Amino acid sequence: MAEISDRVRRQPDSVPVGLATLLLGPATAVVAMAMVIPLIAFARYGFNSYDRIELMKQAWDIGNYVRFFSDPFFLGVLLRTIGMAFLATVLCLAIGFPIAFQLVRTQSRFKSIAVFLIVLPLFISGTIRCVGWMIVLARGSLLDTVIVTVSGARIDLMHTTLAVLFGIASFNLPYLILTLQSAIEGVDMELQQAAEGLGATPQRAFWRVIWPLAFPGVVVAAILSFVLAMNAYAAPVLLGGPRFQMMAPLLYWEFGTQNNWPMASVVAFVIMGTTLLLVGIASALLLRRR
Amino acid sequence: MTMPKELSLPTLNRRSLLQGAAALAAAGSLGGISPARAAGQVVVGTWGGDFAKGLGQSIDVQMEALGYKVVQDANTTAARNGKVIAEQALPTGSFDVVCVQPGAAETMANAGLLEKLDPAKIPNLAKVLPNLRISEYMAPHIFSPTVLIYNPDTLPEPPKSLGDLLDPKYAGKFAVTDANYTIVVMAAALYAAGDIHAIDKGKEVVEKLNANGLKFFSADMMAAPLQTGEITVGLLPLARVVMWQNQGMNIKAAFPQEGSIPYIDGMSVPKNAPNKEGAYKYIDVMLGAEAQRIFAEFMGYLPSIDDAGLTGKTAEQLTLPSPAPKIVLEDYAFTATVQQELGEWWKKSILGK
Amino acid sequence: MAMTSAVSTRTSVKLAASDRLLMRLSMPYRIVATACGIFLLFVPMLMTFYISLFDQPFITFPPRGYTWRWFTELYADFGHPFMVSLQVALAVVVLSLLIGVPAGIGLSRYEFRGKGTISMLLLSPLTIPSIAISLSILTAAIAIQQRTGVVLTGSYSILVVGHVLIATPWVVRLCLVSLANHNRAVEEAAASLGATPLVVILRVTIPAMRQGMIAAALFAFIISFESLEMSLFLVSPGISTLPVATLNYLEVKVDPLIAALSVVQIIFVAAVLLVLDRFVRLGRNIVH
Repeated sequence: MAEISDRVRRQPDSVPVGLATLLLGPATAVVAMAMVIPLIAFARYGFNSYDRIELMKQAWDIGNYVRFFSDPFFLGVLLRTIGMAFLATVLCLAIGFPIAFQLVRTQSRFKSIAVFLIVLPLFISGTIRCVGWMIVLARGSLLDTVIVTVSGARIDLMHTTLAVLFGIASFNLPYLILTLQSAIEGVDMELQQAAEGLGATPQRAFWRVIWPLAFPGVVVAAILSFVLAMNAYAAPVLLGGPRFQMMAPLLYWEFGTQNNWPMASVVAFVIMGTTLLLVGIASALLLRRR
Repeated sequence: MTMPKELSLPTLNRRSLLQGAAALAAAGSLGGISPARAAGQVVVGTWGGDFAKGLGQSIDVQMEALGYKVVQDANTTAARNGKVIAEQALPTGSFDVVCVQPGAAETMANAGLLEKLDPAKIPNLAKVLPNLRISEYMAPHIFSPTVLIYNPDTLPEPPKSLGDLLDPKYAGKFAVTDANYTIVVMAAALYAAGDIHAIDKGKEVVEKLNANGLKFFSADMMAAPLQTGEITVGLLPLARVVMWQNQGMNIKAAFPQEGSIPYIDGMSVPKNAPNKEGAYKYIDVMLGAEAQRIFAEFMGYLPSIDDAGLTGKTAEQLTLPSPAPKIVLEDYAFTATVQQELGEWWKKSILGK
Repeated sequence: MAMTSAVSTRTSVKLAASDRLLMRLSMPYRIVATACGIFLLFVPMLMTFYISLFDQPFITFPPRGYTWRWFTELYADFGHPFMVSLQVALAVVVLSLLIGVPAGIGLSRYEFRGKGTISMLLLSPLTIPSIAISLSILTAAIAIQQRTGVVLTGSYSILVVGHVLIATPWVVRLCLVSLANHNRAVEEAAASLGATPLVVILRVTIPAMRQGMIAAALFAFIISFESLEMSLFLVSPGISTLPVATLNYLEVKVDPLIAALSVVQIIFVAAVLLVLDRFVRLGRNIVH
């Protein structure tokens, strides 16, 4: 996102105010009406108090937030969610970057097939992709049978952290590869050739020339992956099982099962606040230097 | 089938006219882009999976023959109850009929969210078994004693009580359903104190079971781990044994000696149901002998009425063993008072550990 | 002179050593990473193809037999949610392009105070967890309905609005990228020849964005079609999207039917993409 606004800022025009309003007005109005106002109204609920029959009593009370941050259970869920989002992002970057880099460099006719194969999973919903994992990891599955025959021991794969990590990472990976690919393609490949022409090895040229230029794009991709993972619902519910708690399912539980709207609001704004805070810190630290 | 079709048809026509007029009026107002609510549409909130299929075969088919359109909304108990509660302030809610368990029905009735069911509008209510007449706000649909089900191939000697499962030899081999935590705790209370009200003692037992590697599967999903030997015992309604035996699985039931709590569920009509007449008709069909028989044959639950007329294999499978096992009814007024707190405890102290 | 060259030789020797190390590491690393990527993306997908043919209601190996019957049973369970998802996604494509394309043009072509804020606002649904947005839309809809009587819950409208919110940032982004790559000389020439700004946009800018807009439409479609988190609270009886219906089914059981659903969806999507690819070279346009 950052590299886009940089490019955008290049050439200011004299602004026809009416036209600019016409162009930007509708989108701004939709986001304001459908997101900003409902979010503010919903944030207000977090300061109400919960009542079993009336659901909610009007109040101004920070008790719900105090309850969240003083309860080891809630804090544990928050930390696990952040940890999972971080791990999934690192895993996606480690796998995604080399793939994206090769995609950019490849000139072969397989390139379009490869791009197609990466785009394809994007169109298949996350729940459907979880089905695949449930089938691969289940007890009695092919993988399980292979592990048992080879090692003689049984490793439970379903309902583990690893299963959830696989689920989230495989969901995020195509988004990440495509974002990275566009970041790398934005870097002029002739720069690398020039560096190599001046005697640098391809690796050195990569680390000295390509990587620094592609870095902001990498950060943007990582942020996208992190936000998607903080939000994950299907993977923890389906692959993690009832014992695996993350924030999005917790939000659903507070609202749906417990009917505790004030607490649901608190959980929602804790997810949101934490995500925005961490994203803000990451962009400040990683993008400021440029 | 006891329902006189010729009697219900004129009512349907008059009602569909009224509904049609109402729909026209609604369309004229600021209705938004709501889906067209057919005049005779009945929205039924239920569980997904085999349960929804069973409803389709036993009730929806008959409703459609009567000119109604049945829309199933398959979801978890939590999502459905949450929706009824969330929509309480609205003049029209999403559901005409909701499948409920008695404890939740009690809670929602206390909060004034459910319609009192009138035997004059639902004639078949008169046939409900006396033990199942729990609430005026819920029509019982089915019941089945909760038992310890096991796979004789992997476990030749079945457990005799819930307490047996505290034995380390069952470590990681015993599963319950996450959604039915109240029955789990009450079954544990029954074992620990001989009284379903002793939930503090029940909680202690469940915590010990949890420390012994308690597992969680939805009822439908317990079939595979029982087959593969991942678990050897599950706490489930007897109905599942019948159903899986019919599918060719080697599964048996053990009645715990301290007693079995029947799993019961029923149907209720929210106060803001858009089509109450349709809802009553649906419930009346549900309580009819044909629907009850078909559902019992499909899923192995026991009928909630006295004249379902089960015959042949189903009747044989659904006959309780002799000597009759001890059956202990849940106290739903009590359940309603403890459910909320129990839910929180379950989430944090059992699932969260 | 001599000293500096000695220093530089030394560093280059050191770097060359590290380069060799990198070279030795990078090839296996790239192979491993690609293998992991293929495993993460495709192994689950291939397994669903296999399972969908199992002739038994639960999944254990080896299967008792093979059958096609799950495919014939699909429509009864998932036909309706599929249609709902399709309709919602198409509405979302139209609406998000209607508001997102002009916003993209506005952000890329004009400089004004508060532009940073507006750009941040328009892109913010990407960084705000959609499950939180979804729930706040539902509670707002209930509150509005209570006060005004306008029926919002249980309608397509809130579902579409929610999806438009998360599709629009992608449309705006892709338009910005497409415009940034586009040579502005033509627009300037048109303007200097006396065309009004609106005419420039209609006659020059928009035609130049055609490929970017197709990519944007495609992304808006994907985002809506596969969004689970945004739909969770906004679906209602009779209006359940495919991902939500799948999730509800999966919370009860996993069986070959759901695998068959996956297979059909994968084949459907692959076919649509291949057809589209003939016209717009997806590989080029999504990525740029």
